[in-house]
Amino acid sequence: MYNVPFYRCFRDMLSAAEQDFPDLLFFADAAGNRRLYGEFCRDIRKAAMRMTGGNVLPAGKRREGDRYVVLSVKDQYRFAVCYFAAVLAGYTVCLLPGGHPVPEGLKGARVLDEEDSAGLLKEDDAADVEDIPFSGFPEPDPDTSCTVAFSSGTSARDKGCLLSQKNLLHDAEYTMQLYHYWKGERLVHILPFWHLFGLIADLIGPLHYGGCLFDPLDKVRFFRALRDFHPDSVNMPPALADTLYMRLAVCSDPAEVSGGCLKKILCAGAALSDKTADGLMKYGIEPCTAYGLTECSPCVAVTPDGEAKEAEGTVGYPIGCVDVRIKDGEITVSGTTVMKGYFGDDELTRKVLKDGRIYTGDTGYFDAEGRLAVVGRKDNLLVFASGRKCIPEKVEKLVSSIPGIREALLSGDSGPGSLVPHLTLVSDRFTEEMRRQVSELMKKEELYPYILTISEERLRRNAMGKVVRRR
Amino acid sequence: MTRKELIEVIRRVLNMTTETDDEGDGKEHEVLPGSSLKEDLLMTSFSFMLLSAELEEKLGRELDPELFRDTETVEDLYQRISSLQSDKDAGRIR
Repeated sequence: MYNVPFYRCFRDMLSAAEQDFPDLLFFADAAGNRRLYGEFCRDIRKAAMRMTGGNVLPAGKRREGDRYVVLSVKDQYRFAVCYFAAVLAGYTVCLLPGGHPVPEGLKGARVLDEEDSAGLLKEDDAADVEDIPFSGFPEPDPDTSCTVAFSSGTSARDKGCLLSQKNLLHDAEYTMQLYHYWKGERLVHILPFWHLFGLIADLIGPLHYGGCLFDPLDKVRFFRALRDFHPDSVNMPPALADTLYMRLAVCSDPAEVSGGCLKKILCAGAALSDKTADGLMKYGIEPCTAYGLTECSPCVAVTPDGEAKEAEGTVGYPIGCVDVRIKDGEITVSGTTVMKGYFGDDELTRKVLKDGRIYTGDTGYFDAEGRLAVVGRKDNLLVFASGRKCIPEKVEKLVSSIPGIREALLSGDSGPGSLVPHLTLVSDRFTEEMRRQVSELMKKEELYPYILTISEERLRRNAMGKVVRRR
Repeated sequence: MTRKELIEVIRRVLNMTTETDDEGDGKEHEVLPGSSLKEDLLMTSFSFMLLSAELEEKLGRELDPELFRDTETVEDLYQRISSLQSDKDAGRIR
């Protein structure tokens, strides 16, 4: 486990960064812009003073009325500056993609767009606001909400999660006990800061250690950014990890593709395929994964550095500030990173947050080493006549690993008053030996006897490409 | 770069991004000059990352992401690349 600096609030984190790395590169982009840590911190203080009109809030006083700021800024450097400036100025910041419509409940909020953010950072010959140190800003209550992060999760409905500085700092700090950054580490910044994974992994985390970010300014420039910036690590969605592996697999010089220094990647948001994970390891890139949800700030569990191989198929260990328990197959989480509630929706908050514990709707289990494996959604849970509760995705993954079986679907067929396991296998060369292996596995999973259907046709999928489970 | 070479590069990218072997049909992607990059060939932002990297390697120069912004068909892309090649003094496409 790595030693990590812990801070009470952003103010203290930024003050330490300014003191520890004043001349270190913090941010560079494909247009040639560069900002050092010292400059970044000065920009934050200046923007915070301008937001308050030069009058910071007295200690302990909360902003009234115009308490919310909607940050609608695409420029990533300005977004980072304005986010911290607004929190220092006592605002609660709503994270949204640049240009996204303001949510209904926030119509009266102060909106900071591209022009406003540029105005807050403009250089003036005559200083219009006093340059006060971070210690001159009031010490906040770290448990008060400072951020509204929107999560649609697996539903179509936007839900604003209220998160405090303590939620966000603990999430970054406890995650870094397992997955660490180091001073001068170079990261290609591809996750936008308005996305909570981006805010934590690409901004708050590296600020603790003096990480250097490079913004390609356009996703299309990703491979050029790898080649020219030589990053040590990149935080990315699994689809980009697949893309990276595809490019590595066909190139003649892997170092030319990855930049030659890429040691690890951190993926979150969806499962990383075993094929990509195995493939990246062959090129010396450690594929770590994190599991989380916006309601938990977001990280719940992460693969520790150096354990990607052993942890394959899992999302690593729960971070140190959460208590993860499996209840009826469902992953539940409590701890200091759990949100305060949903913005303007007490009813939904009560439904999801029971006694301080989040019911994630995801099903999973712990392996023998204590690593968490996420296998599916609670909605898919099957309860058979034997009383056996079963996560179908887990069994399907096991069955699909038998050579010759392309796909598997476990469902329940109505028996006399209850469900019996029904396994549908897609295979164009199903043999007696395969039948024996499948039956052995089903017995081990306490799903025997079962109905077996063999098909040569692919499983039916919906418009999103997901297998249709219900008949 | 000829039209045929561009089609080969696009086909190579499509082969990378779709697992035709696993599907078992072994069919080559049909890429025609009139094929829409997004509608017909289902290219995503990740496919464009790969395409950009492949083209930069082939052309030996950097490409501006704007090249792909409003490019509808394979032929459109070919025309843009041709004009880039004919404008040898310009370092980037505007």
